[in-house]
Amino acid sequence: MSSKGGIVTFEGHRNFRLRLIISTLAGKPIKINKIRSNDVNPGLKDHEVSFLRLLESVTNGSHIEISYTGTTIIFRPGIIIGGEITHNCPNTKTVGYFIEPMLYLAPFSKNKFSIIFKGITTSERSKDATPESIKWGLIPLMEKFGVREVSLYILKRGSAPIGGGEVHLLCNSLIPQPLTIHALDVPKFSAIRGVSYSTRVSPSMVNRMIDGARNVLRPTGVEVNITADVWRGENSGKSPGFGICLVAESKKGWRIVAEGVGAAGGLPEDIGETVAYQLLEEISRSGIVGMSQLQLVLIYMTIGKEDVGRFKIANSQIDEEFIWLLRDIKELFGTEVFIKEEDENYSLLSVKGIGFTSVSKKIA
Amino acid sequence: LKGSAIRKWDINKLLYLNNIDPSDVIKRWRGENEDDEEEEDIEDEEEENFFTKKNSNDASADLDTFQPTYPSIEILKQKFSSETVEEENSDEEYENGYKSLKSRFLVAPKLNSNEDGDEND
Repeated sequence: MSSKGGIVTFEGHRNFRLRLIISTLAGKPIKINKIRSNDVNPGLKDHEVSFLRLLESVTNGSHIEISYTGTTIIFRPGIIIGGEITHNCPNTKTVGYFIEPMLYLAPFSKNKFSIIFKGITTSERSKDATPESIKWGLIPLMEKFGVREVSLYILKRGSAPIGGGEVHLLCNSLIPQPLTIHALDVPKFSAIRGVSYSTRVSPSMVNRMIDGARNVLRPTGVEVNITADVWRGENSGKSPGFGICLVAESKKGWRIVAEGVGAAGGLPEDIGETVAYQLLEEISRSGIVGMSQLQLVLIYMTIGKEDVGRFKIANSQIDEEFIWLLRDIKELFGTEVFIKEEDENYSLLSVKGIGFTSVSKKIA
Repeated sequence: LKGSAIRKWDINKLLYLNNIDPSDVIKRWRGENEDDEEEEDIEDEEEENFFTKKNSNDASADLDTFQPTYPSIEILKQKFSSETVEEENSDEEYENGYKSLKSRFLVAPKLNSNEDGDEND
């Protein structure tokens, strides 16, 4: 994590996608070395190479150099152009792994993004976003920053290990930069919604998951509304699977998400119950948004107008990952976040935007 | 315990010191590290040991994920269940359920108490 001779250098495979994304947004080349250099299988993994290819196809003029052993890459970003693309994702990661970083680029592109991702939509082994959590957790958050008209359609579901799913990401709004945000109040959640989905298993599974989750959520006293979404036939992919995604919603549109996917041989009641408890835990340790959404908030705040945005977080959200993220942002954008501890539970983040302008506005 | 003697670090000063590992930043800021003064003295060998150990752990871990990690289900159950509907007869308890989360949910007041009461907005 040092900059020598104009190129910013990172070490290791941590935050791989994030670093490439902020490099693209900042328009600065980066070098990542020592990627799994101590591992039995050193170097980039399949999904990381696939992600690099995706990044290459949504940009124009990107230049990627990968060392012979795959442990070092140099990435020189081009401009974000978007377009209509189909991306085949490897079966080691879910499509969410590839969709999530696209949300950072899509609104600031030259052309609209319309990408079809083919691969696994859900997997119990992958800790990546499912299409549900992107739809319920990240896209509403983008609206807060002025990015409207982003939609995600699940055309086909595909559970691990074989997959066969298809998801369509469409971003129709191109904006010069995200709005400056001032979120000072910790919201109260008035409803809990969710989707319980299954592919190629008995339809009773989704209801059993819902029952498990409901039992845990009932004492909260808020309205609980979980939709059953059973997929059959051609569009349900090639493998059996089931999962649930729960969302706590406030009246102002802030959301906190928890999700889980059933493992082979696991009971649907258990997964419903676990995810419900995880949602409660996430609410109890979060400020305005959950841990998984914080990264989007910080990046969008950083690339905003040259104005100070404010955002309230819980003190428990300041963890190791959070610091890694802040350091990576500083490395490329040069901005520092100021944290003001307000009381024992909450802190206020102040971030000054860098005055970023999207390529669509620069050229036109 | 030396609890009261722990120096309270300003998080803003620690955040961008790249020579301090993020996990250490958190420890110092939360005041969990009791002998942080001492540690700095023996930084050289300690830190080297620490880093090599850490690297071998990191090598296989996936450090690029979306979902946060949660405590095990048993811990979560305990955290939320002991405080739940303990006194089910009490109106207040029944209405609010999870005590620790009371401030985070917007619950309409019960109908029998006051029909046209405030909406709790």
